[in-house]
Amino acid sequence: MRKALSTTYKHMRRTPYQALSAVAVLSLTFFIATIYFLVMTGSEKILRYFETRPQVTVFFQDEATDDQIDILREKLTGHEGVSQTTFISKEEALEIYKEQNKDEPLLLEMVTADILPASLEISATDVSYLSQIAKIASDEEGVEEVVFQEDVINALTSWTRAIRIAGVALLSFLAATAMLIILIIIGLKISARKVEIEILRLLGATNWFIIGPFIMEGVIYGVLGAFFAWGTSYVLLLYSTPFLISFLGDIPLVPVPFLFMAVLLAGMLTFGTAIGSIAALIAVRRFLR
Amino acid sequence: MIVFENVTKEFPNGTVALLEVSFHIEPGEFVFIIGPSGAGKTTLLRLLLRELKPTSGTVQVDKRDLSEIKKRELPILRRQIGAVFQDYKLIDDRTVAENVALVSEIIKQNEEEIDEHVKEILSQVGLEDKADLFPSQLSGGELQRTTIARALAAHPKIIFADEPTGNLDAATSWEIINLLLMINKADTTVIVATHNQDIMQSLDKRVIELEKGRVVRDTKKPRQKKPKAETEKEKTKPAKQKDEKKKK
Repeated sequence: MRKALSTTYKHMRRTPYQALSAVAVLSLTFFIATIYFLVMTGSEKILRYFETRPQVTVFFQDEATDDQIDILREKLTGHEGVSQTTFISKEEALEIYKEQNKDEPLLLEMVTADILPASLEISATDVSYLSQIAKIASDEEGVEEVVFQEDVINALTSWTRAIRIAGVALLSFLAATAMLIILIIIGLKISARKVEIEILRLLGATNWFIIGPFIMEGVIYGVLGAFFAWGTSYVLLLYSTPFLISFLGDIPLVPVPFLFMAVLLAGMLTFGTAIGSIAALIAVRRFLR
Repeated sequence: MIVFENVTKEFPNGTVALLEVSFHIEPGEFVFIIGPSGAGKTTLLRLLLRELKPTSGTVQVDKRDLSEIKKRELPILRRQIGAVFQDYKLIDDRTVAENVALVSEIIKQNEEEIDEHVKEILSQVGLEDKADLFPSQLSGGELQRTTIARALAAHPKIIFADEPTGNLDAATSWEIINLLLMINKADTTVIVATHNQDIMQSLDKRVIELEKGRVVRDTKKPRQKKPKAETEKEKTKPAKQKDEKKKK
């Protein structure tokens, strides 16, 4: 193992530009893959955030009785598509209004609890139940208006699905590209060392003795590429965190926890090792026949 | 130790390199295999290393039929045979010491052992001051001595030198032959394929002569201890040759 590593080091040192270009191209490939993976994970998280927000708001008439409100609440709580209901009284609505407009004293002066409607905020287990829930609520007595954000959620869902499909396609393409790069470079090195390989065989070297350094080289390219890509994307993410915080508002996406990035690094290193070793194995296989 | 039994080797293009070749070589023997270019000398080495398989007949080393050796067992066979190739087969981007160390690395010696072992072998072949040079910086004789040093590194039972004096002047050729004789004295079987008649005739050793792939002469005789006089003759011969060369 140590011997194979030292031979790998010699191979790389004697062709430094090849090694450098392999690491550079792999870093770029893995970097694009990482950024896309982060976008994919982020969009999933944003969708999940919206899905857990109250998606249907039922505003009650001023004359609606507590009984009417309770009946609707019970009906909805028993429904399979409802995950949570929260009642907001006129007074609570005023508090929320005050909080939202605390910087506008003029707006606050003119509003009292009487003119704000009581409401029921409902979260659905799935977006597809939204119209059903809205229908149940609007059919009840004492209900003034039902507001639900079906379009927003639907749009977000279809976007996320598209990002996911494109992501899988892009990541597969990038993985194939990374493998090809390693395969070509290791293939070139093997061709350049054909005579050496033949000599080693005649001297009684085992297959592993011959191919070990080449596989190790593929793994090193994969691991270095993955590590540099991770480092660059983490720096970029940290740099853009202030912007993302103000852009995303309440959505708790950033700052990205270090644990997530550590798991991502472990995943990428595993991915890099797998890509490097598989590509190098394919490259050396032809010469073992 | 080495048995060729009715060995025929025909290449796919129809060339017959060896035809019904049979001989036995005992452990510790020194044998010349002579014949003109194309007589089949190199094919013998390639069969011995199982680089090729005979078309018919059997090649045995230590009573093992090489045709029956599995691919994964080949490295073990090859480590028993120290091959000295006509074209040296040294690795260009490795130094003399690294080329010699290669065999020790293959047989998995540890680094300290390798360093010690390489130094010892290089001094044995007189290359201790060339250890850090690359093959392109060496003369023909030095290159040949490097390949002999590499062949010795695995302590093989057999050394097969294919035209070891092919590209060398007479004095250097004698240096190489003396080195091989010295290796033979340590009970290593040495086979020298050559078309250098002078050297072969100067030494009283067994000769197997090949012509167009057939054995046309084998001077095998019962093995006996070398008389002291012969050993002395072997020692002085190259020196004499060198002196003569200098005078010229």
